[in-house]
Amino acid sequence: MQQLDPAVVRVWSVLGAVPGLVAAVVALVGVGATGGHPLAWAGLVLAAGGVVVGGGIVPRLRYRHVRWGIDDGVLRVRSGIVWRADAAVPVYRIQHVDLEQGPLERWAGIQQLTVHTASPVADVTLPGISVTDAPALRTRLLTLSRDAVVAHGAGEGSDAV
Amino acid sequence: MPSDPGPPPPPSPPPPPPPPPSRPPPSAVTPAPASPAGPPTTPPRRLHPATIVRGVDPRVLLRAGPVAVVLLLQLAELVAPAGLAVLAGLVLGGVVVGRVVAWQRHTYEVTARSVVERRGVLRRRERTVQLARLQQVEVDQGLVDRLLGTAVVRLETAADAGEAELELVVVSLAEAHRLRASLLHRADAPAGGPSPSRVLLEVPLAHVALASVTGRRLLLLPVVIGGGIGVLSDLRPVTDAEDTVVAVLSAASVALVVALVVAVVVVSVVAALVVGVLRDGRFRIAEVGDDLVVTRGLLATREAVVPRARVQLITIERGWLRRRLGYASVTVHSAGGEGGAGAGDGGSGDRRLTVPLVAAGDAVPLLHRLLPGHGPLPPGAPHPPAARRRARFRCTARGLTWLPPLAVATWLLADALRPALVVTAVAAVLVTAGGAWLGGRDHDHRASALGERWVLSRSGVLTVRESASPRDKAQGTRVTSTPFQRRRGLATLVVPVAGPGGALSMLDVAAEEAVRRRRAIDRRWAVSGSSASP
Repeated sequence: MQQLDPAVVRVWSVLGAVPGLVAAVVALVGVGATGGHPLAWAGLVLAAGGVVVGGGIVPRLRYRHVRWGIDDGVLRVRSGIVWRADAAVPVYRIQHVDLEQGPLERWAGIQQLTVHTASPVADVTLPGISVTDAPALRTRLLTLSRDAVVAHGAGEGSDAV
Repeated sequence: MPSDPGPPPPPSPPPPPPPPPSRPPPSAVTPAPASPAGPPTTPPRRLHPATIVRGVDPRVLLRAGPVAVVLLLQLAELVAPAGLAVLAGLVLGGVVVGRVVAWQRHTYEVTARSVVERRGVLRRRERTVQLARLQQVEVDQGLVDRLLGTAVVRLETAADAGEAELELVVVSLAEAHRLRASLLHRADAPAGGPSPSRVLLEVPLAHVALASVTGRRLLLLPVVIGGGIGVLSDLRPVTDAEDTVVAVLSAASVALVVALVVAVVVVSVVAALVVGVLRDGRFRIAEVGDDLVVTRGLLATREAVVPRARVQLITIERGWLRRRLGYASVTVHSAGGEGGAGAGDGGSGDRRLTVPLVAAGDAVPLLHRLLPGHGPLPPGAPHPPAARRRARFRCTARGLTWLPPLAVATWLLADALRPALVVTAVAAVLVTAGGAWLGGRDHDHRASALGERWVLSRSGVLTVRESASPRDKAQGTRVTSTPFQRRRGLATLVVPVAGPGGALSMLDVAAEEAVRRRRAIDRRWAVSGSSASP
């Protein structure tokens, strides 16, 4: 099982720091408005802590806990620090594969790959694959999917549902 | 080429024999694509001329109609009656011409592999639905359609699980049946409609009636009344309807209020009864070849055909009232169809494929008649004892979330803190006791199993829902765990299936059992030797 592209940590750091930064701004305003009330200072410290945790610690932890791989025609993704999830999708069930990239991802040089099946609950997402590898991975998954459908004798026109 | 470790692939169906239609159709085991002989292709055809009237979108009418009427009334003040009549005639004539042109430009065509619909006057749209993707084909007749001899044909795929992918409003009834037969690859299509080869279930009217009054639709009328009062008071701010009602009620005697309440209850029951019987009367499931044909409706009939191979999930629901009376309802989910839409059926799936009522003991035998060849349902195994505490906690926690709003409400009403605290404390005790008891029932009802050909999950506190899915229909597997679950050696296994039926969920099974089951399910579609690193 392998890990995602490390650049995804940058995206998560930015996203994770935003709530803390917003809270810090509010707390700063509070400090200014109340003229240095201890509660406002405490709020500022908390907000700063939130930025560190949300922007620094959690993304790295999260990165360490995401593993994925294709094993025997089954795509597996394990993720989660506290609430853990282990998803498996047989390539036979793949209906289509999406590649998405927001501005943050573009800056980090990664893409988000989503595998769609006939059930939205079964869909699986790899949040960060490098732009060089993502199209190849998508092609690879779709080829495996077509081969699996043929191998199971369902015929080219089948939709594997 | 990877070797196939699984069971041998199903045999491909032989090419269909040429007509005469009296020959039995080849039954397809899997929804294989059309062989070269294929279903009869249809050159582009127009819809029935009744479409000119029938095809008007009721939503457009609801929006445009009142506007047009208001405009006309305004103009009536400015223009002489004769001029008004001419104007109205022109507008109407324009609408009719528009509808005729729209009908003329609307065609459908069946090719070897797909159905193509072309429509639109100013903005042309061409929609292609692949035959291999068809999950369900429905032929519906409203009251007007019965008089005219027309029907609506709805095609559903797994893609657009909300509405029908393609809707033909309207074609003649004979054409509807012929179309459905050709789309589902059946070589014979008798003009009068499919002749059932075997009836699997017929629901007597008494059961339909009982289902209507024991279901959730009962709650509709009070909701409608409440909403109606709200709407009234919005429309007429001068006379506030709510205030009027309150004034009337407070002035009236207790007896009058009681009589009013009883009247509302009686009307609700009667309304639910009438609606239910009209909608589900003459409910019947027949088996034609390898398809399930579900018909229902007294005035407006609906007829849905689901190939057996497209059935994703069957749920058996035993509501608390129906359980006491010894009944249950059964729903067949395909990958198409509305998911839980419509009042009264919540998340139990498409009403068209919901059997309103069966005797409780008949539910599982019916399931086996619907999907034979999968063997018996495995007995559901209860979940580990550790899950009981979690169930109790879950039910209690849900109840406790009501306490803060309750406390605030009492505080505001009583205008003092003490009563609020007392009420909250009493409520907390009640919720804890009730939650513990309900949690116990939740755990007692919970069971799951993985059989040779079935996946089974049963849960519920008041309403017990049992879901069974052919193991081959699993779209994947997902095992999740919270730290609380991990501490007790539990996990949750979710087996998704196609369509809005959703997924089978096994909450709080033993962690090793979850892993064992998911491995067994994953193995089915595994292809050995195709690992990959990009």
